[in-house]
Amino acid sequence: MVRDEIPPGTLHLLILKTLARRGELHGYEIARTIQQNSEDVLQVEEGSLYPALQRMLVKGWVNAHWGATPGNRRARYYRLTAAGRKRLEIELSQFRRIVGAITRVIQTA
Amino acid sequence: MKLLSELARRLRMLFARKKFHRDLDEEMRLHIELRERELREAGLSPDAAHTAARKTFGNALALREASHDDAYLIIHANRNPRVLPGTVRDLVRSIDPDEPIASFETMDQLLSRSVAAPRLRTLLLTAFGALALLLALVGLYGVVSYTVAQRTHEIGVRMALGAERRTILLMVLSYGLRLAIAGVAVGLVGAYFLTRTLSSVLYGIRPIDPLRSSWLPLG
Repeated sequence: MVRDEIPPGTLHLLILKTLARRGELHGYEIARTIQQNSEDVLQVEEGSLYPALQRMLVKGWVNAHWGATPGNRRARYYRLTAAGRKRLEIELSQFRRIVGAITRVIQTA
Repeated sequence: MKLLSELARRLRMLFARKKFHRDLDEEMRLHIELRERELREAGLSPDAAHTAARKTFGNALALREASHDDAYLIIHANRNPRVLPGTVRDLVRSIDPDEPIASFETMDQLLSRSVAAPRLRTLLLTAFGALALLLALVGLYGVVSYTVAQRTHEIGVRMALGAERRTILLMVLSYGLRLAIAGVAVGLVGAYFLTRTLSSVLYGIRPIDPLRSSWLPLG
């Protein structure tokens, strides 16, 4: 099966969208959800997932708290903040604009 | 109490950084564990699942495992160093009771611990050098006194023919001096080659340094 890396700059968007849809998730669930929802095409690099989550924590787009998994393990759960919701809108419109532009360029060519 | 408030500020920063890394470690461990279980359920052998789950983390994990959780704090204070450990211990406990403190040491102790091995080596070298010097002196004395004893007859004749005490003394001493100079010459040549092998234990002395290494041929 061919697996593609996530295009640069879109990881934040994917995390924000995933959290918006699913509510509260820990890191592994975020990675699994992105992979499943992309029908196994997008593979989240663990090495970039956690740094990205840290950056989003610092920017205040998500907040985090420690809780227990169904298997009773300690895990850090992330949840979207109001600022994160706003950011999701910005990143979404930005992404649509870029994809639209790229599509137009490809079609004219 | 300016020192203590500054110390408290730095300790808080240090503990925050350590906590950040501990949290990240725990997150990544859980991630690897869950991934490993998933791979095993997908039919991988436990070993293969373990390796595969860790491989996806790659450098981030290697980097974290390489760095230790220890921290060193150097406190520059003008108060009695013997009461400082208690003060710092109380301060650390008040900020984070779970934070263990390994040990306290004054800068002098740290310094003397770090130079203990080279100091012992230098002491040994000096002792051997002194011993060699003593042996050389005893040897030289033996040779000169043996020669004088053998030449008693010749010296008697010289004195009978009018040689002064001074001349005889000079003769014997210059003989001893010639032997010593020959010894120094041989020693310098030897030292020139031997100091290269010694260079690992000599600190701050170039392998070829006639002035400072001349104590070797003297011995």
